[in-house]
Amino acid sequence: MRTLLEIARTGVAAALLHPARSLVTVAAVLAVLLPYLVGLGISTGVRNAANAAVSHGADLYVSGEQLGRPVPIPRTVATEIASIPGVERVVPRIVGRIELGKERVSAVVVGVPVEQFPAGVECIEGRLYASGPRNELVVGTDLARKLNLKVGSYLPPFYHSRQGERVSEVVGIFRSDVSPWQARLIVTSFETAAHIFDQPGLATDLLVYCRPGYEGEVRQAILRTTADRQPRLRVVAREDAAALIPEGLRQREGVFTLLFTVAFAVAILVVLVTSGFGLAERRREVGILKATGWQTDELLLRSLVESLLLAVMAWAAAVVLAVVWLKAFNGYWIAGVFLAGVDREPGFRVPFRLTPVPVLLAGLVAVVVVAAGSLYSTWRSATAPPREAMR
Amino acid sequence: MSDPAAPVLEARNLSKSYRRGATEVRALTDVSLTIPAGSFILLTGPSGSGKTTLLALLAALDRPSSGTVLFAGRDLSAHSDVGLARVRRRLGFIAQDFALIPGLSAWENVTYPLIPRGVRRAERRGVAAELLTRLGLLDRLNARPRELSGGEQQRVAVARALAGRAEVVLADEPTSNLDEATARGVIELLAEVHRDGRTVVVATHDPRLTALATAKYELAAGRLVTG
Repeated sequence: MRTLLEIARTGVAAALLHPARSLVTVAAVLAVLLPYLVGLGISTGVRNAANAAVSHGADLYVSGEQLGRPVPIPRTVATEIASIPGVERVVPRIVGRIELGKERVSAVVVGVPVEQFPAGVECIEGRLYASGPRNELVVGTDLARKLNLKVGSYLPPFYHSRQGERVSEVVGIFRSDVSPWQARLIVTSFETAAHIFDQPGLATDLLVYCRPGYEGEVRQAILRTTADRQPRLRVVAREDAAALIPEGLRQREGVFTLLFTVAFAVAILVVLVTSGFGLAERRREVGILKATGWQTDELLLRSLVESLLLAVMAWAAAVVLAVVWLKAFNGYWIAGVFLAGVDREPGFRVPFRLTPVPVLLAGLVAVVVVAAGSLYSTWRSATAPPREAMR
Repeated sequence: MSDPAAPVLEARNLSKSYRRGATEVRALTDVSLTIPAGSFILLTGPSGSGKTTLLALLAALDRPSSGTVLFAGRDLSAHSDVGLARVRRRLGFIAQDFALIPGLSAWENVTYPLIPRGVRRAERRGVAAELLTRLGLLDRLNARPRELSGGEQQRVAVARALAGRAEVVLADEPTSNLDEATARGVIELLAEVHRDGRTVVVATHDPRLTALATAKYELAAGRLVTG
């Protein structure tokens, strides 16, 4: 045991014997681990934020579906659903994407009755919009900054409607740096949104709030009373909505994992090359040790300890840098890679959470990447005749 | 210690050839010799005659193209990696280019071979200090090879070969890079190793070593011409 520990100590010394190689190896592994940790950290953070948003949302979401595609539903359905026993209130909503300005900045318009203005959205300047088709908008600070909008600014018509096009006025600004959902949000009256999207009398979906314990019955009642209605209604419970979040994120994580697998394969090659950084010297060193009585397994143990040390250094640096990047620099640039439509400098607090599993997985990846590279080159040198390796 | 009557090393019909581009270079051709335990063997011959190649084959550092090398009566090619490592621990090799590890200090270079043998660090340092003192390098214990002169590096290589108390010491031109006084010191050390009952095999041009030799083999163009 003592001998093994002594050999292991030479592995630690070996990392210091070749500082340039060690640095290049650590840098190569860091380049793979850092985006991996940041990506998974953001992904988990977004999922948590989405779950929190859903948990504070409506009990049921009612939308229309025709030929498998979502379609708007008549607003009058809201009145019908409101009369179902167990329903507290029904909020019709219009949600749609628009593009603004010369730079075609994308934004999401949400039209809801002013009395249903989202509780989590804090208006910091101006006032809320008035009811009716007044084309009054409340925009987020990030969007306002991007488009140079202030309270009282007018937006030239940015949509086409059969009822004519109108100038819109910014009447209020809310803090949009709270969550990713609010970064590109414009909130307006239901009627204005209907006008913008040219869908009078229609709603994208209905938010149904029920008395506690009535969700299941209300859901059944909605489906029963509207069974013969076109378009067909789709009712999603809060739990189902929450369950849909991981699905969407997993698709993104799937793409990320695929990209990471490619990066992982490249990293092994990079480490193989960096193991070759000073390869002649390293090969000679292995040859000398073999010539003086070291066994191949002892040399592999030495190399493994060296790899572990370098991997742990790279891993620790990646974890620290990931936290610094996301906490101190708010995911500058990297957030845009993982969150669609987010700028290089995010206008909101990027949600981020590093859980133990990806962190430990990153450590394992680091060990595998470094060990695969350096053990192979050590094994090749150690199994050659020492005189050949010493040349 | 080995039985003085039995050969400690034996080469049987050794040949070694290398590929250099498309051509095959024969470094050794059909060399046979016997090295009795406790002998002092000189391998002589002009440069390129195959002395270093023969020494490397005897030291289990290379594989012959044909023929066999027997150490303590056992064919080296029959040994596993572990078996070969154990053989190498009983052999001390002094390379012509010193073969020191650049990042290690002199004392570490001397005693790195002792690490897999389970020798404690303090003991290793003691062994290195004793050997390097005898070779006049006590004040250079912590120097890196690049901080040492050629002669000093040579002495560190000699000390390494002796550190494990090898049964056979094989030295390739051990005095070639040394000044007169240091060379005499190394010769005296090899003589002392021999007096200790150990076997010494030296490839050299140095006539000062002739007086110590119990047998001398001369190589020319990869063949044994006298012996």
